[in-house]
Amino acid sequence: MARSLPHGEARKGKGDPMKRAALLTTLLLVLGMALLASSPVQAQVTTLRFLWFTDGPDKPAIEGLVKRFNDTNPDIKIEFSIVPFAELNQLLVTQASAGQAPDLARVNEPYRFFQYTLDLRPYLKNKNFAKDFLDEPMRMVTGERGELYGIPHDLTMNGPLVNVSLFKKAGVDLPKDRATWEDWMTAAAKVKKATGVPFAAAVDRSGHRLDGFLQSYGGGYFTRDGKDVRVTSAETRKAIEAFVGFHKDGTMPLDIWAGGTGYVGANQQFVNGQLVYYLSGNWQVAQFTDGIGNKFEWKAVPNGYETQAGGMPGGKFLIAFKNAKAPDKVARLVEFLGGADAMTEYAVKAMFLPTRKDLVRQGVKYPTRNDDMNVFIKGVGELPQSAYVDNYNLHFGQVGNEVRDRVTQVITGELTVDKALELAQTKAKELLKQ
Amino acid sequence: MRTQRTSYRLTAYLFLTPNVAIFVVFIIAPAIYNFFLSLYRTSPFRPPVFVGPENFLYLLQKDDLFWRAVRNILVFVVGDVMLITGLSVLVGVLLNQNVRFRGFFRSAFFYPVLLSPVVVALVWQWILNSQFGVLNAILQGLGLPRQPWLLRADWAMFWAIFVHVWATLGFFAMIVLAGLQAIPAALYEAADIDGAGRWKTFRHVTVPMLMPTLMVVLILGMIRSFEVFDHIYVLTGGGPGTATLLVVHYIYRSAFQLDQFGLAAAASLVLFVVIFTLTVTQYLLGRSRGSI
Repeated sequence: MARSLPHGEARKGKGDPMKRAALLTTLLLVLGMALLASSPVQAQVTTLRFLWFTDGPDKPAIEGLVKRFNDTNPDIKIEFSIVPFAELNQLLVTQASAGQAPDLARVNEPYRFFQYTLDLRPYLKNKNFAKDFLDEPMRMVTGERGELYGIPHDLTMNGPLVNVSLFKKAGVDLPKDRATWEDWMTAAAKVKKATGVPFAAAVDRSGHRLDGFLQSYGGGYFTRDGKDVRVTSAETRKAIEAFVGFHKDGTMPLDIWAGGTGYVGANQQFVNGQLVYYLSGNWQVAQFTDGIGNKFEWKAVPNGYETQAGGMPGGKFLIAFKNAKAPDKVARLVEFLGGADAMTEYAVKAMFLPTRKDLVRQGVKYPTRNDDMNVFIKGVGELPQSAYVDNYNLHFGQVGNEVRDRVTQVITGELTVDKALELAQTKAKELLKQ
Repeated sequence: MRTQRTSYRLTAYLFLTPNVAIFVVFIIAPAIYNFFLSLYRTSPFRPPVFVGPENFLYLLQKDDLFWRAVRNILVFVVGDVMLITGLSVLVGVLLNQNVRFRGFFRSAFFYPVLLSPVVVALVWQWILNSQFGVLNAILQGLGLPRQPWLLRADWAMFWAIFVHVWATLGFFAMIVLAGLQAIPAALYEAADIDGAGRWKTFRHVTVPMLMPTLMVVLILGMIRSFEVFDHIYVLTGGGPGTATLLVVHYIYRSAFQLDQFGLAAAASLVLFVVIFTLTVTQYLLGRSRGSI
């Protein structure tokens, strides 16, 4: 016996509702597919994720280049995002280990990501691309078997910046070329006393900055061959004692180096006119030009000179990740950003030093603060070989962090210099085993 | 009947499944991975190498920073838990009084709990800045010298505990308040009839009835103290020197600044064992006294 369907009988003459629902669903599906099919541009555009951290002035420079690339490569759309420097490494490691790394990222320690990075060689149009860049920085993005994971994008040089207005107000002359750190600290302390500003001198809390200080004493972290550490060497010890002494006598404030773990910068104190002498680097020039403006006169000066010139090279790198879905397009972006034209534009706008051999040879004319930038460029030329050995050692970041934290313990009175260096040396040897 | 019971049971398991799945994927699986990671030496440059108990031996026998972090966390936990427990009872009792604007006061005490730990720590960092902080400005206004609040080891630990208590007191005070409101009014009436004063009533009625709630506050407070990271990371960074370096900061430093993920995993396991042992001990002690 057939079941009676009251709703069917009640709707008799008005059409089967199930049939109507099925027809509507089919129509909607067809419409949706038609809409999708009618967007050919969307279907062909590849999105590349590009992660960046900014030192300030590089932001407009790179944003301009990203826009230019997007305009001239309609098949690629760059999704550009910026993260704070302090969070960069752990963010990238977390993303990369989950296979969610960006296609391209700006980093300062590329070796941290080698197990996740993409070998660009098969995808580059210019097979000699790597040879266009300075050798030492290029080694940092080259794998053990010659893999090319990215490019050095900008070169930096550690060096001091001074508040000239405060020197003039105090009636203190700037120390001459080849002045020692002691000369500079004495002068800065005199200026502080005469003008009443809170801080005489400050150094960013960074193993990299500290090593630049050590270099002038002939000290450093690694041996010449880079295979061992020399944190307890007599030269390093002498430099650390001097560095700690500048904190203990009040020339340098505890606020920067007595902090706990992590990087602490003193740029805000300098921009606010509260700091006489600031050991940082060329990457500050552009942001200080904007941030300071005409508030006071300032300039770059050479590093302190003890037995040799101080300072450390550095720089940032662009690295590609292997989870990229369109590695050929990533390579195209890298070749664009590493090209002479784009790199010149970037270096000039961001006030950074270029990493291409041709640009370093022919020089770069900066539109402003050309003299300051040339102080840094001259400093690069005077760098001892040991500075390059240290900075481009794969373990530099880790060892630098360890030495930095142990020196902080000396400054706060937790450890003696000897004990701190002994502990740092032991730990550094452990880290080298990694 | 049997079919219906089975059906109910299946329905219950079905509802529990998403929660259990999330728990397994985000808690159990990473914990198991963490255990295996602790047995390896990791490196950003080469595959991990199995080293067995080497990381644990290094922690327990060679690493002065780990033991410093352990000492610091014990100081922090004792100070933090004592203050949280005592103050949450005091605040809970006060908020339980029938006064005007009671709702406002309850919200005011709870408000810091809603703030991000980063915001809380940043604001206090500015207040305590040795050069430009509000607190030193007040001191100077009173003719007193400025103090290096976060640059001296003893002061830094004090303020680390203070800020954490300030930020979390409201949460525990609400737990105590709920416990107070669950005490039957008849007990207070009986005490009143017997002529017990306020203090005797508090000692012999309120405190015993509040014991189970206080055990919860103690256990939760202890776990949260051991696990604290955000407030301290922003407020002092673990400094000055290593004065406020706690175990979680040690783990963070080992993993993200020294790339020693195996060592960090080993330290986190040690921390887990310590917290678990203390929590179970507290729980059993509480049960034996009938507090739970």
